[in-house]
Amino acid sequence: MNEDQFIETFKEEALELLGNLEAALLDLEESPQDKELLSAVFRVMHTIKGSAAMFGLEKISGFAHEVESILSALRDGKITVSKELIGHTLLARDHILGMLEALSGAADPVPDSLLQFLEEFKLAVGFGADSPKQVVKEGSAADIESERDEAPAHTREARKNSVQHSEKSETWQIVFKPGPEMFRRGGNPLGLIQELRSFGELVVIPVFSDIPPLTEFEPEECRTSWVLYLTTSVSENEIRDVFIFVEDYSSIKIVCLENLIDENTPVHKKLGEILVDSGKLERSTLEKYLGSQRKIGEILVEEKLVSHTDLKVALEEQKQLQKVQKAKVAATDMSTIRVKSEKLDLLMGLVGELVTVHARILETSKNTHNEELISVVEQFGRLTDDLRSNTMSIRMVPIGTTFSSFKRLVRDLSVELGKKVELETDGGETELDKTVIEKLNDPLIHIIRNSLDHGIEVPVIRKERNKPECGIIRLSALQTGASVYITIEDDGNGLDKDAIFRKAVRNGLIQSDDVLTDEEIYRLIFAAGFSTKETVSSVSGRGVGMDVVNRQMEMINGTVSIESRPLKGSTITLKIPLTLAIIDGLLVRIQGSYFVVPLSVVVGCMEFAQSKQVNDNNIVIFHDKQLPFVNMREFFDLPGERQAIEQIVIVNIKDQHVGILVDQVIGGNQTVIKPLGKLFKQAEGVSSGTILGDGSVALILDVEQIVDFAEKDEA
Amino acid sequence: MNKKISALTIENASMNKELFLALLDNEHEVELNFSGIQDMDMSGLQLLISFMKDAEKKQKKVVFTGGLSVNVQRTIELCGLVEHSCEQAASLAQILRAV
Repeated sequence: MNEDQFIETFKEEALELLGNLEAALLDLEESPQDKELLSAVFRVMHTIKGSAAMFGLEKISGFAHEVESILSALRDGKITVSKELIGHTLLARDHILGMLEALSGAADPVPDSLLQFLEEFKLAVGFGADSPKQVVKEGSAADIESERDEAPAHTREARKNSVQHSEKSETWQIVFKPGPEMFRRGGNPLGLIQELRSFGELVVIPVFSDIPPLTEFEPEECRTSWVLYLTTSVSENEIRDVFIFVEDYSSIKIVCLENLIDENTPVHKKLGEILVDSGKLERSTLEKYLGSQRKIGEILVEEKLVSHTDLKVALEEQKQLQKVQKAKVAATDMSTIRVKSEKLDLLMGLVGELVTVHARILETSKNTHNEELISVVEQFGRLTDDLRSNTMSIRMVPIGTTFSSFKRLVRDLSVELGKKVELETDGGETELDKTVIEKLNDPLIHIIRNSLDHGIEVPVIRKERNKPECGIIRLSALQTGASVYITIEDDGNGLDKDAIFRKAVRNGLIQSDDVLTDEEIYRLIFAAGFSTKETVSSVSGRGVGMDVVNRQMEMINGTVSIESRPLKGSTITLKIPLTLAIIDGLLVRIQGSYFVVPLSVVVGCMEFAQSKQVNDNNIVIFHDKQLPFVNMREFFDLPGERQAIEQIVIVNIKDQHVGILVDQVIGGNQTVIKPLGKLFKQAEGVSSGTILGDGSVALILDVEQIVDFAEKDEA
Repeated sequence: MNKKISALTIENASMNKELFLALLDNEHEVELNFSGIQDMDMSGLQLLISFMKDAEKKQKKVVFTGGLSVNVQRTIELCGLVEHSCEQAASLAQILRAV
């Protein structure tokens, strides 16, 4: 590797780190007390500084060093987490990103403009009042070494701990209920807790609910119990050993949280569920209160159904469970290697070729009637299948990272617009083909911007409408069958049907006497140049944007649907195919030509005898209903006579059943999609091509387009 | 009634309990000055919690004053009652009321 390649690797890593940093900062804004997040934020800056210095990127390392010293003051509790701090750190992140993207002059010292930014940063967070000002040049590799040595004893201890943890740390729940005679027998519960603390990270929740009022209280009896959460690499036996002298008169329950989690455990186990599972609450009681809008914990405590301590324990359990699950995910993430996505594209292409070649070999081997050969080729086919699904799975990435990148967008935009908006995400673990995810980014940005600008109201109006001041945009992903549904839901205005209609008439998109369904009116917002906003803001109103959604979705064979409830909010749903490279298809024949119908839209097949056709209307009866069908021979203007008995493939397009008349349905087909090239761009009714087992070409039908054309033709 | 408590520990737990009971019976307002309390262990903390519970039931006003000694701070931190350092008796009173 030459130096450029090293720098390229550094750049890649730094970009990823900065991505993590953004997410961590936004989380930190929500839970400023979370020490782990704090040190995660600090670590990122530290790593960037160190690696940049190693490559002589003075500008970045110097800048990162200054930011790091502010963050270290934060970690040490000298300054606190504030809106200013998060805001400035986010800006600092953007500056580093900018420097990374334009690496020219990277060896120069930090420029004045950035120094001034640092001054403002320090001023805004109250940094530097009592900490000595550092010279920018200090950010060299040697300095990092010396700093490590100077680290105070407790941080060194923490480092040692974290090294220990990385061996394999687990989180344990310990319920410790000392017997009443604990004190009299000379036992000291605090000593035991202190010993546990030395094992790793410990959260201590005391339970005082058994302490009676003074008159009934026996002061020499131990009436306190504890629920402890210990994250450590030591074994269960070592933990048990701590209690060895008190165990015969105390109750000690030790459970490993990892064991409580399986694939079925939701990422966010509900508080109510935890309370029910621990026997603190009846399920029937929980269900009675679940429908309420308020936080379940608040209600239960208020109604005295659950004590304050029980709630605290349950909340901590929820937090610890999440932590354990996150760690599990991180552990799986760790064993990864970085591969250029072009390599994956190439691999996918090769697998596609292999599938095609296999089909040819199968075809040829059948002609030889050599049983042995056929059996080997079939085995080869199973392997190819496995290889194909494996390669596809490599290209699948969870959509969560894309989701979390919108947090920043929502945060910045809501400030700009003077609105309070929270972005909730759900189903981030849903996986989609990498190329599909890349193409989703722009549409989602436009939809979210639109929701923020047009959907969510300003706090004053929300208050008038009896809504919480803070609006919510919910982004969720769900996989069903071969499609993934992504919904963007807001609790704002909803779409103004009349305004959209008026504007569309004015823009000449429709006539004022056109009769449109609600959905059709809503879809007008995707037309190019359409905006109901009277004034143009930096956020929206220019009318570019929503048409991007339509265009991009077409490119990935996706569809968009809109629902709106006036003054309650709107929901936009994107339906996206799982992958773009290989699909399951149904092979059909018309005269001598072969076509593939994507299996995902096929509902069924039926035989059709021309003699039974009642009139020329191209309608058959299917399941007691009239079913319109399109004669593909006519559609493609294919030569030859219609056969006496034909077949109809019934497809589902936009919740509507339509038939496609063909000569013969041949059967299922693993269809490797091949683009048709520029010449065929205007070809109607076909989306792409594929190569069949005998080497001939089949066209993949664009069923939606065919149905649209047929409808227009009729009109 | 003006009584002096030097430590809230297991050794003088019974004595302290009697003292607290007498305070609640005789006084309308009780002031506990922590600056003289050098030490407190778990039994002492339990006693305080029990005392606060009783005081609330009997609708007596209890005020904690003064600073907390290092030993007292250590006990309330170790047992998990407070997450961050708590140096003033007044804040301890607030925390105990919420228990």
